[in-house]
Amino acid sequence: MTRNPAATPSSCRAPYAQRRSRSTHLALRWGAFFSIVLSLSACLPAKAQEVPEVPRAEFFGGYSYMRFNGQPLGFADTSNLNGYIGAISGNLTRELGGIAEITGNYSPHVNVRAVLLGPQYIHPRGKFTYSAHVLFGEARSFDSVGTGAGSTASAVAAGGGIDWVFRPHFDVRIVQADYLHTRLFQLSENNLQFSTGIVYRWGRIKWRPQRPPSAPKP
Amino acid sequence: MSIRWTGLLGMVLALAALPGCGGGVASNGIQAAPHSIYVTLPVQNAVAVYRVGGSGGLTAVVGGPFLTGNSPAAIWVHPSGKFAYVANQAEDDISLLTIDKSTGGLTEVLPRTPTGVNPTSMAMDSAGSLLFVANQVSNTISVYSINASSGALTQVSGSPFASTPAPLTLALTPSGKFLYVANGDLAAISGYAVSASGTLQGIPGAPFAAGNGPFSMAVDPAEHFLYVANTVDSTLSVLAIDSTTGALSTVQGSPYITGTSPVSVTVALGGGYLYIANQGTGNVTAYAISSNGALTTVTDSPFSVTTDPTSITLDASGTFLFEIDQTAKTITEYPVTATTGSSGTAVVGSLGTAVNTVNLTSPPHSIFAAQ
Repeated sequence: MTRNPAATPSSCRAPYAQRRSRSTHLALRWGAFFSIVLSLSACLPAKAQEVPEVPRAEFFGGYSYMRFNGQPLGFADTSNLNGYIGAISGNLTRELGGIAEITGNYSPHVNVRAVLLGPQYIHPRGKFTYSAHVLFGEARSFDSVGTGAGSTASAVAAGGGIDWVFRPHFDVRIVQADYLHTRLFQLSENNLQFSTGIVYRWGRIKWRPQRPPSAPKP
Repeated sequence: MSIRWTGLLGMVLALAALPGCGGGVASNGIQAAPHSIYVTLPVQNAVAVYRVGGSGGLTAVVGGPFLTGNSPAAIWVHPSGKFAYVANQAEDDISLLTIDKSTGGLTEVLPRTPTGVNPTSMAMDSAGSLLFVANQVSNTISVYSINASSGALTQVSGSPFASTPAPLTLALTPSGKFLYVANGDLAAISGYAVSASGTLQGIPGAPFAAGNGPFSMAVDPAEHFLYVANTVDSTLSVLAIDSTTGALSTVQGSPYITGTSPVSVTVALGGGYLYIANQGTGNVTAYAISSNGALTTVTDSPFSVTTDPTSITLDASGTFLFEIDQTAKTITEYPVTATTGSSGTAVVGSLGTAVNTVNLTSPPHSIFAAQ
Protein backbone atom coordinates (compact mmCIF):
# COMPACT_ATOMS: atom_id res chain seq x y z
CA MET A 1 0.00 0.00 0.00
CA THR A 2 1.34 3.37 -0.98
CA ARG A 3 1.27 6.09 1.62
CA ASN A 4 -0.37 9.36 0.85
CA PRO A 5 2.37 11.95 1.38
CA ALA A 6 -0.23 14.45 2.46
CA ALA A 7 -1.11 12.19 5.39
CA THR A 8 2.45 12.06 6.74
CA PRO A 9 2.36 12.53 10.54
CA SER A 10 3.75 15.82 11.86
CA SER A 11 6.53 13.95 13.63
CA CYS A 12 7.83 12.82 10.25
CA ARG A 13 7.94 16.33 8.76
CA ALA A 14 11.25 17.80 7.81
CA PRO A 15 12.93 19.59 10.74
CA TYR A 16 12.79 23.38 10.99
CA ALA A 17 15.13 24.42 8.20
CA GLN A 18 16.42 27.75 9.50
CA ARG A 19 18.39 27.82 12.75
CA ARG A 20 18.26 30.80 15.05
CA SER A 21 21.04 31.83 17.39
CA ARG A 22 20.29 31.24 21.04
CA SER A 23 20.35 34.96 21.87
CA THR A 24 17.95 35.83 19.05
CA HIS A 25 15.62 33.04 20.12
CA LEU A 26 15.69 34.33 23.69
CA ALA A 27 14.97 37.89 22.59
CA LEU A 28 12.04 36.75 20.48
CA ARG A 29 10.65 34.74 23.37
CA TRP A 30 10.77 37.69 25.73
CA GLY A 31 9.37 40.01 23.08
CA ALA A 32 6.41 37.71 22.46
CA PHE A 33 5.81 37.39 26.18
CA PHE A 34 5.85 41.15 26.58
CA SER A 35 3.44 41.63 23.70
CA ILE A 36 0.96 39.16 25.18
CA VAL A 37 1.09 40.77 28.61
CA LEU A 38 0.67 44.28 27.25
CA SER A 39 -2.19 43.20 25.01
CA LEU A 40 -3.98 41.55 27.90
CA SER A 41 -3.56 44.55 30.15
CA ALA A 42 -4.88 46.89 27.45
CA CYS A 43 -7.94 44.69 26.89
CA LEU A 44 -8.94 44.54 30.51
CA PRO A 45 -11.80 46.94 31.10
CA ALA A 46 -11.13 49.61 33.70
CA LYS A 47 -13.84 49.54 36.28
CA ALA A 48 -15.18 53.00 36.78
CA GLN A 49 -15.86 52.55 40.49
CA GLU A 50 -12.65 50.53 41.37
CA VAL A 51 -10.22 52.24 43.75
CA PRO A 52 -6.72 51.02 43.06
CA GLU A 53 -4.66 50.59 46.21
CA VAL A 54 -1.07 51.64 46.54
CA PRO A 55 0.82 49.96 49.38
CA ARG A 56 2.94 51.87 51.85
CA ALA A 57 5.77 49.40 51.35
CA GLU A 58 6.61 46.44 49.13
CA PHE A 59 9.03 43.57 49.45
CA PHE A 60 10.00 41.89 46.21
CA GLY A 61 12.02 38.74 45.66
CA GLY A 62 12.52 36.47 42.70
CA TYR A 63 14.57 35.21 39.78
CA SER A 64 16.87 37.39 37.70
CA TYR A 65 18.39 36.88 34.26
CA MET A 66 21.13 39.13 32.93
CA ARG A 67 22.60 39.54 29.46
CA PHE A 68 26.07 40.65 30.40
CA ASN A 69 28.01 42.72 27.89
CA GLY A 70 31.25 40.77 28.15
CA GLN A 71 32.80 41.93 24.87
CA PRO A 72 34.70 44.80 26.57
CA LEU A 73 36.31 42.14 28.76
CA GLY A 74 37.48 40.22 25.70
CA PHE A 75 34.58 37.75 25.65
CA ALA A 76 33.47 36.53 22.26
CA ASP A 77 29.83 37.44 22.88
CA THR A 78 27.34 38.52 25.55
CA SER A 79 27.06 36.14 28.49
CA ASN A 80 23.90 34.70 30.02
CA LEU A 81 23.86 35.04 33.79
CA ASN A 82 21.21 33.73 36.19
CA GLY A 83 20.55 34.65 39.76
CA TYR A 84 18.32 36.45 42.21
CA ILE A 85 16.80 39.83 42.93
CA GLY A 86 15.48 41.35 46.12
CA ALA A 87 14.08 44.82 46.69
CA ILE A 88 12.37 46.96 49.29
CA SER A 89 10.34 49.96 48.20
CA GLY A 90 8.55 52.63 50.15
CA ASN A 91 5.89 54.80 48.58
CA LEU A 92 5.53 58.39 49.75
CA THR A 93 2.50 59.17 47.61
CA ARG A 94 0.31 57.18 45.32
CA GLU A 95 2.73 57.87 42.51
CA LEU A 96 6.17 58.37 43.95
CA GLY A 97 8.44 56.25 46.08
CA GLY A 98 11.94 54.88 46.48
CA ILE A 99 13.59 51.51 46.02
CA ALA A 100 16.59 49.71 47.46
CA GLU A 101 17.53 46.73 45.31
CA ILE A 102 20.11 43.97 45.48
CA THR A 103 20.87 41.52 42.65
CA GLY A 104 23.28 38.69 42.05
CA ASN A 105 23.80 37.08 38.64
CA TYR A 106 26.20 34.23 37.94
CA SER A 107 27.78 32.20 35.14
CA PRO A 108 30.76 29.82 35.02
CA HIS A 109 33.11 32.63 33.95
CA VAL A 110 31.79 35.81 35.51
CA ASN A 111 29.42 37.05 38.17
CA VAL A 112 27.87 40.48 38.70
CA ARG A 113 26.36 41.67 41.98
CA ALA A 114 24.80 45.07 42.44
CA VAL A 115 23.28 47.24 45.14
CA LEU A 116 21.18 50.11 43.80
CA LEU A 117 18.98 52.88 45.19
CA GLY A 118 16.70 55.37 43.60
CA PRO A 119 13.24 56.82 42.98
CA GLN A 120 10.34 55.03 41.36
CA TYR A 121 7.13 56.14 39.72
CA ILE A 122 4.02 54.02 40.24
CA HIS A 123 0.88 53.86 38.16
CA PRO A 124 -1.79 51.51 39.47
CA ARG A 125 -4.51 50.59 37.04
CA GLY A 126 -7.10 48.05 37.96
CA LYS A 127 -5.51 44.70 38.62
CA PHE A 128 -2.15 45.88 37.40
CA THR A 129 0.46 48.23 38.74
CA TYR A 130 3.03 49.71 36.39
CA SER A 131 6.26 51.15 37.67
CA ALA A 132 9.35 52.87 36.37
CA HIS A 133 12.59 53.67 38.15
CA VAL A 134 16.10 55.04 37.86
CA LEU A 135 18.63 53.56 40.27
CA PHE A 136 22.19 54.37 41.20
CA GLY A 137 24.72 52.35 43.11
CA GLU A 138 27.61 49.95 42.90
CA ALA A 139 28.36 46.70 41.11
CA ARG A 140 30.94 44.07 41.91
CA SER A 141 32.21 41.40 39.56
CA PHE A 142 34.63 38.54 39.51
CA ASP A 143 35.97 37.23 36.22
CA SER A 144 37.38 33.73 36.65
CA VAL A 145 39.34 33.74 33.38
CA GLY A 146 43.03 32.98 33.86
CA THR A 147 44.14 33.78 37.39
CA GLY A 148 40.92 35.70 37.89
CA ALA A 149 40.21 39.38 38.28
CA GLY A 150 37.76 41.30 40.45
CA SER A 151 36.33 44.75 40.12
CA THR A 152 34.04 47.16 41.96
CA ALA A 153 32.56 50.09 40.11
CA SER A 154 29.58 52.37 39.72
CA ALA A 155 26.32 51.16 38.24
CA VAL A 156 23.20 52.85 36.89
CA ALA A 157 19.91 51.15 36.07
CA ALA A 158 16.76 52.34 34.32
CA GLY A 159 13.69 50.24 33.83
CA GLY A 160 10.22 49.32 34.86
CA GLY A 161 7.88 46.54 35.77
CA ILE A 162 4.36 45.19 35.66
CA ASP A 163 2.73 43.73 38.75
CA TRP A 164 -0.51 41.77 38.84
CA VAL A 165 -2.52 41.94 42.05
CA PHE A 166 -3.84 38.48 42.72
CA ARG A 167 -4.32 38.67 46.52
CA PRO A 168 -4.86 41.56 48.92
CA HIS A 169 -1.24 41.44 50.08
CA PHE A 170 0.50 39.67 47.25
CA ASP A 171 1.34 40.61 43.70
CA VAL A 172 3.02 38.68 40.97
CA ARG A 173 5.67 40.78 39.29
CA ILE A 174 5.10 39.53 35.81
CA VAL A 175 8.26 41.13 34.57
CA GLN A 176 10.76 43.81 35.47
CA ALA A 177 13.13 44.91 32.71
CA ASP A 178 16.21 47.00 33.40
CA TYR A 179 19.01 48.49 31.36
CA LEU A 180 22.06 48.28 33.63
CA HIS A 181 25.21 50.22 32.84
CA THR A 182 28.38 49.26 34.73
CA ARG A 183 31.98 50.42 34.63
CA LEU A 184 33.61 47.22 35.79
CA PHE A 185 37.32 46.56 35.15
CA GLN A 186 37.66 50.22 34.15
CA LEU A 187 35.61 49.44 31.07
CA SER A 188 32.02 50.18 30.09
CA GLU A 189 29.36 47.46 29.91
CA ASN A 190 25.78 47.84 28.67
CA ASN A 191 23.77 45.03 30.23
CA LEU A 192 20.14 43.99 30.21
CA GLN A 193 18.35 42.38 33.14
CA PHE A 194 14.94 40.68 33.39
CA SER A 195 13.34 39.69 36.67
CA THR A 196 10.17 38.07 37.90
CA GLY A 197 8.87 37.05 41.30
CA ILE A 198 6.52 37.69 44.19
CA VAL A 199 5.74 41.04 45.81
CA TYR A 200 4.43 41.36 49.37
CA ARG A 201 2.39 44.53 49.90
CA TRP A 202 2.21 46.16 53.29
CA GLY A 203 0.05 49.08 54.39
CA ARG A 204 -2.02 51.31 52.18
CA ILE A 205 -1.87 54.88 51.04
CA LYS A 206 -5.47 56.14 51.32
CA TRP A 207 -7.14 57.48 48.23
CA ARG A 208 -9.35 60.49 48.60
CA PRO A 209 -11.59 61.12 45.60
CA GLN A 210 -11.87 64.69 44.42
CA ARG A 211 -15.13 66.45 45.37
CA PRO A 212 -17.18 67.57 42.44
CA PRO A 213 -17.44 71.36 42.30
CA SER A 214 -20.53 72.58 44.15
CA ALA A 215 -23.29 74.25 42.18
CA PRO A 216 -23.34 78.11 42.44
CA LYS A 217 -26.01 79.54 44.77
CA PRO A 218 -28.72 81.42 43.06
CA MET B 1 -1.70 55.49 28.80
CA SER B 2 -0.89 51.96 27.51
CA ILE B 3 0.96 53.54 24.60
CA ARG B 4 3.26 55.39 27.02
CA TRP B 5 4.13 52.27 28.95
CA THR B 6 4.50 50.26 25.78
CA GLY B 7 6.93 52.85 24.52
CA LEU B 8 8.94 52.79 27.76
CA LEU B 9 9.25 49.03 27.82
CA GLY B 10 9.91 48.94 24.12
CA MET B 11 12.82 51.31 24.65
CA VAL B 12 14.26 49.00 27.28
CA LEU B 13 13.92 46.07 24.89
CA ALA B 14 15.60 48.03 22.14
CA LEU B 15 18.56 48.56 24.43
CA ALA B 16 18.82 44.79 24.59
CA ALA B 17 20.28 44.97 21.13
CA LEU B 18 23.16 47.10 22.35
CA PRO B 19 25.18 44.40 24.14
CA GLY B 20 25.03 42.22 21.06
CA CYS B 21 26.35 44.91 18.77
CA GLY B 22 29.98 44.30 18.00
CA GLY B 23 31.48 44.30 14.52
CA GLY B 24 31.60 47.17 12.19
CA VAL B 25 33.35 48.26 9.08
CA ALA B 26 36.97 49.28 9.08
CA SER B 27 38.06 52.58 7.65
CA ASN B 28 39.17 50.80 4.48
CA GLY B 29 35.64 49.49 4.00
CA ILE B 30 36.45 45.88 4.86
CA GLN B 31 34.50 44.02 7.52
CA ALA B 32 36.90 41.78 9.36
CA ALA B 33 35.74 38.73 11.28
CA PRO B 34 36.52 39.01 14.99
CA HIS B 35 39.60 37.03 16.06
CA SER B 36 42.54 37.33 18.45
CA ILE B 37 46.20 38.25 18.55
CA TYR B 38 48.68 36.73 20.97
CA VAL B 39 51.85 38.42 22.26
CA THR B 40 54.61 36.73 24.26
CA LEU B 41 55.96 38.63 27.28
CA PRO B 42 59.23 36.91 28.28
CA VAL B 43 59.87 39.04 31.37
CA GLN B 44 56.46 38.15 32.81
CA ASN B 45 56.62 34.51 31.64
CA ALA B 46 53.22 35.06 30.11
CA VAL B 47 51.15 35.60 26.97
CA ALA B 48 48.79 38.53 26.47
CA VAL B 49 45.65 38.03 24.38
CA TYR B 50 43.63 40.70 22.58
CA ARG B 51 40.34 40.34 20.72
CA VAL B 52 40.30 42.14 17.40
CA GLY B 53 36.81 43.43 16.65
CA GLY B 54 35.31 43.72 13.23
CA SER B 55 36.21 47.39 13.06
CA GLY B 56 39.73 46.73 14.33
CA GLY B 57 39.20 47.57 17.97
CA LEU B 58 41.60 45.81 20.35
CA THR B 59 40.14 44.43 23.58
CA ALA B 60 42.38 42.86 26.18
CA VAL B 61 41.09 39.55 27.47
CA VAL B 62 40.48 40.15 31.17
CA GLY B 63 42.39 37.71 33.34
CA GLY B 64 45.55 37.95 31.25
CA PRO B 65 48.36 37.89 30.69
CA PHE B 66 48.29 34.14 30.98
CA LEU B 67 51.20 32.34 32.57
CA THR B 68 53.52 30.06 30.60
CA GLY B 69 56.98 28.63 31.23
CA ASN B 70 60.18 30.63 31.60
CA SER B 71 60.83 33.27 28.94
CA PRO B 72 58.30 32.47 26.18
CA ALA B 73 59.97 33.24 22.85
CA ALA B 74 57.38 32.08 20.31
CA ILE B 75 53.70 31.20 20.15
CA TRP B 76 51.60 29.34 17.61
CA VAL B 77 47.82 28.84 17.66
CA HIS B 78 46.38 25.60 16.32
CA PRO B 79 44.12 26.13 13.26
CA SER B 80 41.19 24.71 15.24
CA GLY B 81 41.48 27.65 17.61
CA LYS B 82 41.41 25.24 20.57
CA PHE B 83 45.11 25.17 21.51
CA ALA B 84 48.13 27.44 21.68
CA TYR B 85 51.76 26.33 21.92
CA VAL B 86 54.47 28.45 23.51
CA ALA B 87 58.22 27.82 23.23
CA ASN B 88 59.80 28.55 26.63
CA GLN B 89 63.29 29.58 25.66
CA ALA B 90 64.87 29.54 29.12
CA GLU B 91 63.61 26.15 30.25
CA ASP B 92 63.74 24.22 26.95
CA ASP B 93 60.15 23.09 26.68
CA ILE B 94 56.76 23.76 25.11
CA SER B 95 53.67 24.92 27.02
CA LEU B 96 50.31 23.64 25.78
CA LEU B 97 47.45 26.05 26.55
CA THR B 98 43.79 25.44 25.87
CA ILE B 99 41.80 28.38 24.52
CA ASP B 100 38.35 29.15 25.88
CA LYS B 101 36.51 30.38 22.82
CA SER B 102 33.87 32.25 24.78
CA THR B 103 36.15 34.17 27.12
CA GLY B 104 39.39 34.09 25.12
CA GLY B 105 41.28 32.94 28.19
CA LEU B 106 44.21 30.51 28.13
CA THR B 107 44.74 27.64 30.57
CA GLU B 108 47.96 25.65 30.60
CA VAL B 109 47.85 21.86 30.50
CA LEU B 110 50.75 20.29 32.35
CA PRO B 111 53.23 18.70 32.04
CA ARG B 112 55.23 20.69 29.50
CA THR B 113 56.86 18.95 26.53
CA PRO B 114 60.69 18.91 26.44
CA THR B 115 62.53 20.36 23.42
CA GLY B 116 66.19 20.84 22.51
CA VAL B 117 68.24 23.62 24.06
CA ASN B 118 66.94 27.18 23.59
CA PRO B 119 63.82 26.78 21.41
CA THR B 120 63.40 30.06 19.53
CA SER B 121 60.96 29.53 16.69
CA MET B 122 58.02 27.32 15.74
CA ALA B 123 56.00 26.41 12.68
CA MET B 124 52.87 24.30 12.19
CA ASP B 125 51.28 22.77 9.11
CA SER B 126 47.92 24.12 7.97
CA ALA B 127 46.13 20.93 9.10
CA GLY B 128 47.45 21.32 12.63
CA SER B 129 48.98 17.83 12.67
CA LEU B 130 52.70 18.64 13.03
CA LEU B 131 54.64 21.17 15.11
CA PHE B 132 58.23 22.12 14.26
CA VAL B 133 60.61 23.74 16.76
CA ALA B 134 64.07 25.24 16.06
CA ASN B 135 66.50 24.62 18.95
CA GLN B 136 69.15 27.30 18.54
CA VAL B 137 71.83 26.02 20.91
CA SER B 138 71.51 22.29 20.34
CA ASN B 139 71.44 22.84 16.55
CA THR B 140 68.40 20.61 16.05
CA ILE B 141 64.83 20.69 14.78
CA SER B 142 62.24 18.97 16.99
CA VAL B 143 59.14 17.65 15.25
CA TYR B 144 55.96 16.66 17.11
CA SER B 145 52.69 15.12 16.04
CA ILE B 146 49.62 16.83 17.54
CA ASN B 147 46.66 15.00 19.07
CA ALA B 148 43.61 16.66 17.51
CA SER B 149 41.37 16.25 20.56
CA SER B 150 43.73 16.93 23.45
CA GLY B 151 46.43 18.95 21.70
CA ALA B 152 49.11 16.76 23.30
CA LEU B 153 52.50 16.61 21.57
CA THR B 154 54.36 13.41 20.69
CA GLN B 155 57.84 13.53 19.20
CA VAL B 156 57.95 11.80 15.81
CA SER B 157 60.38 9.01 15.03
CA GLY B 158 63.89 10.37 14.37
CA SER B 159 63.27 13.70 16.12
CA PRO B 160 65.16 15.82 16.99
CA PHE B 161 66.76 16.17 13.56
CA ALA B 162 70.23 17.64 13.16
CA SER B 163 70.32 21.05 11.48
CA THR B 164 72.97 23.49 10.36
CA PRO B 165 74.44 25.55 13.22
CA ALA B 166 72.26 28.03 15.11
CA PRO B 167 68.83 27.56 13.55
CA LEU B 168 66.99 30.80 14.30
CA THR B 169 63.69 30.88 12.47
CA LEU B 170 61.47 28.49 10.51
CA ALA B 171 59.20 28.80 7.49
CA LEU B 172 56.92 25.97 6.36
CA THR B 173 55.30 25.98 2.95
CA PRO B 174 51.46 26.07 3.06
CA SER B 175 51.29 22.50 1.70
CA GLY B 176 53.57 21.33 4.53
CA LYS B 177 55.96 19.71 2.04
CA PHE B 178 59.07 21.80 2.71
CA LEU B 179 60.59 23.36 5.82
CA TYR B 180 63.16 26.15 5.57
CA VAL B 181 65.53 27.20 8.34
CA ALA B 182 67.38 30.51 8.66
CA ASN B 183 70.80 30.03 10.23
CA GLY B 184 72.24 33.05 12.00
CA ASP B 185 75.85 32.00 11.40
CA LEU B 186 75.47 31.40 7.66
CA ALA B 187 74.38 33.58 4.78
CA ALA B 188 72.24 30.67 3.70
CA ILE B 189 68.92 28.89 4.17
CA SER B 190 68.65 25.18 5.01
CA GLY B 191 65.83 23.18 3.50
CA TYR B 192 64.09 19.90 4.38
CA ALA B 193 61.43 17.81 2.71
CA VAL B 194 58.75 16.82 5.23
CA SER B 195 57.19 13.35 5.05
CA ALA B 196 53.61 12.60 6.07
CA SER B 197 54.86 11.28 9.40
CA GLY B 198 56.92 14.41 10.04
CA THR B 199 60.41 13.09 9.36
CA LEU B 200 62.82 15.57 7.78
CA GLN B 201 65.01 14.84 4.78
CA GLY B 202 67.59 17.40 3.61
CA ILE B 203 66.81 18.97 0.23
CA PRO B 204 69.61 18.29 -2.26
CA GLY B 205 71.71 21.38 -2.83
CA ALA B 206 70.97 22.90 0.58
CA PRO B 207 71.94 25.21 2.15
CA PHE B 208 70.86 27.83 -0.38
CA ALA B 209 72.54 31.22 -0.61
CA ALA B 210 70.83 34.25 0.95
CA GLY B 211 72.16 37.55 2.33
CA ASN B 212 74.15 38.05 5.52
CA GLY B 213 72.20 37.62 8.75
CA PRO B 214 69.10 35.87 7.41
CA PHE B 215 66.46 36.15 10.08
CA SER B 216 62.77 36.41 9.27
CA MET B 217 61.20 34.42 6.43
CA ALA B 218 57.81 34.12 4.74
CA VAL B 219 56.36 31.95 1.97
CA ASP B 220 53.70 33.27 -0.41
CA PRO B 221 50.33 31.41 -0.33
CA ALA B 222 50.94 29.93 -3.80
CA GLU B 223 54.20 28.43 -2.57
CA HIS B 224 56.23 29.96 -5.39
CA PHE B 225 58.66 32.11 -3.43
CA LEU B 226 60.49 32.29 -0.13
CA TYR B 227 61.20 35.81 1.15
CA VAL B 228 64.16 36.22 3.50
CA ALA B 229 64.97 39.39 5.48
CA ASN B 230 68.76 39.73 5.81
CA THR B 231 69.35 41.89 8.89
CA VAL B 232 73.10 42.43 8.39
CA ASP B 233 72.94 43.35 4.69
CA SER B 234 69.63 45.23 5.07
CA THR B 235 68.26 43.41 2.05
CA LEU B 236 65.41 41.10 1.11
CA SER B 237 66.23 37.89 -0.76
CA VAL B 238 63.56 36.45 -3.04
CA LEU B 239 64.09 32.75 -3.71
CA ALA B 240 61.97 30.67 -6.09
CA ILE B 241 60.79 27.31 -4.70
CA ASP B 242 61.00 24.22 -6.89
CA SER B 243 57.60 22.61 -6.36
CA THR B 244 59.03 19.09 -6.78
CA THR B 245 62.29 19.14 -4.86
CA GLY B 246 61.93 22.25 -2.71
CA ALA B 247 65.24 23.60 -3.95
CA LEU B 248 65.67 27.38 -3.82
CA SER B 249 67.02 29.65 -6.52
CA THR B 250 67.49 33.39 -6.54
CA VAL B 251 65.04 35.29 -8.78
CA GLN B 252 66.10 38.11 -11.05
CA GLY B 253 66.20 41.41 -9.25
CA SER B 254 66.95 39.85 -5.86
CA PRO B 255 68.12 40.98 -3.37
CA TYR B 256 66.02 44.09 -2.87
CA ILE B 257 67.16 46.97 -0.72
CA THR B 258 65.15 47.47 2.48
CA GLY B 259 65.41 49.84 5.39
CA THR B 260 68.13 49.28 7.99
CA SER B 261 68.07 45.93 9.81
CA PRO B 262 64.94 44.25 8.47
CA VAL B 263 63.78 41.94 11.27
CA SER B 264 60.32 40.77 10.30
CA VAL B 265 58.62 39.93 7.01
CA THR B 266 54.99 39.00 6.42
CA VAL B 267 52.98 38.21 3.30
CA ALA B 268 49.29 39.04 2.87
CA LEU B 269 47.08 35.94 2.67
CA GLY B 270 46.03 36.91 -0.82
CA GLY B 271 49.70 36.87 -1.74
CA GLY B 272 49.64 40.25 -3.42
CA TYR B 273 51.67 42.25 -0.91
CA LEU B 274 54.74 41.87 1.26
CA TYR B 275 55.66 43.91 4.35
CA ILE B 276 59.07 44.22 6.03
CA ALA B 277 59.69 45.85 9.42
CA ASN B 278 62.99 47.72 9.46
CA GLN B 279 64.23 47.96 13.03
CA GLY B 280 67.03 50.41 12.33
CA THR B 281 64.91 52.98 10.50
CA GLY B 282 61.61 52.55 12.34
CA ASN B 283 59.50 51.94 9.26
CA VAL B 284 57.76 49.26 7.20
CA THR B 285 58.60 48.67 3.55
CA ALA B 286 55.66 47.52 1.43
CA TYR B 287 55.99 45.70 -1.89
CA ALA B 288 53.44 44.53 -4.43
CA ILE B 289 54.28 41.01 -5.66
CA SER B 290 54.03 40.12 -9.34
CA SER B 291 53.49 36.63 -10.74
CA ASN B 292 57.18 36.19 -11.58
CA GLY B 293 58.24 37.15 -8.06
CA ALA B 294 59.35 40.65 -8.95
CA LEU B 295 58.62 43.23 -6.27
CA THR B 296 57.31 46.75 -6.87
CA THR B 297 57.44 49.30 -4.08
CA VAL B 298 54.00 50.48 -2.98
CA THR B 299 53.45 54.23 -3.39
CA ASP B 300 54.54 56.20 -0.32
CA SER B 301 56.49 53.21 1.07
CA PRO B 302 58.25 52.96 3.50
CA PHE B 303 55.63 53.82 6.10
CA SER B 304 56.64 55.18 9.47
CA VAL B 305 55.86 53.01 12.48
CA THR B 306 57.30 53.04 16.00
CA THR B 307 60.98 53.65 16.70
CA ASP B 308 62.09 50.07 17.28
CA PRO B 309 59.77 47.61 15.48
CA THR B 310 60.45 44.05 16.60
CA SER B 311 57.92 41.97 14.71
CA ILE B 312 54.92 42.47 12.44
CA THR B 313 52.01 40.33 11.36
CA LEU B 314 48.84 40.73 9.37
CA ASP B 315 45.45 39.69 10.69
CA ALA B 316 43.73 36.84 8.86
CA SER B 317 41.71 39.12 6.62
CA GLY B 318 44.66 41.33 5.72
CA THR B 319 42.72 44.32 7.00
CA PHE B 320 45.15 45.36 9.72
CA LEU B 321 48.89 45.09 10.34
CA PHE B 322 50.06 44.65 13.93
CA GLU B 323 53.51 45.72 15.06
CA ILE B 324 55.22 45.14 18.40
CA ASP B 325 58.00 47.34 19.75
CA GLN B 326 60.26 45.89 22.46
CA THR B 327 61.64 49.27 23.50
CA ALA B 328 58.36 51.16 23.66
CA LYS B 329 56.52 48.06 25.01
CA THR B 330 53.61 48.60 22.66
CA ILE B 331 51.35 46.87 20.19
CA THR B 332 50.34 49.20 17.36
CA GLU B 333 47.66 48.55 14.77
CA TYR B 334 47.66 50.02 11.26
CA PRO B 335 44.93 49.75 8.66
CA VAL B 336 45.94 48.36 5.30
CA THR B 337 44.87 50.13 2.13
CA ALA B 338 43.52 53.03 4.10
CA THR B 339 45.67 55.96 3.17
CA THR B 340 45.23 58.51 0.52
CA GLY B 341 48.47 58.56 -1.40
CA SER B 342 50.45 61.54 -2.46
CA SER B 343 48.44 61.44 -5.70
CA GLY B 344 45.28 62.08 -3.72
CA THR B 345 43.76 58.65 -4.21
CA ALA B 346 43.61 55.55 -2.06
CA VAL B 347 46.64 53.31 -2.51
CA VAL B 348 46.12 49.57 -2.37
CA GLY B 349 48.53 47.84 -0.01
CA SER B 350 49.54 51.01 1.80
CA LEU B 351 49.54 51.46 5.56
CA GLY B 352 47.39 54.08 7.21
CA THR B 353 47.95 56.03 10.39
CA ALA B 354 47.91 53.91 13.55
CA VAL B 355 44.35 53.28 14.74
CA ASN B 356 45.15 51.60 18.05
CA THR B 357 48.11 51.47 20.43
CA VAL B 358 48.24 49.17 23.43
CA ASN B 359 50.76 49.84 26.19
CA LEU B 360 52.24 46.71 27.73
CA THR B 361 53.83 46.30 31.13
CA SER B 362 56.86 44.45 29.78
CA PRO B 363 58.66 44.11 26.43
CA PRO B 364 56.93 41.92 23.87
CA HIS B 365 58.96 39.36 21.94
CA SER B 366 56.71 37.82 19.30
CA ILE B 367 53.18 38.19 17.99
CA PHE B 368 50.73 35.76 16.37
CA ALA B 369 47.43 36.57 14.68
CA ALA B 370 44.98 33.67 14.87
CA GLN B 371 42.56 33.10 12.05
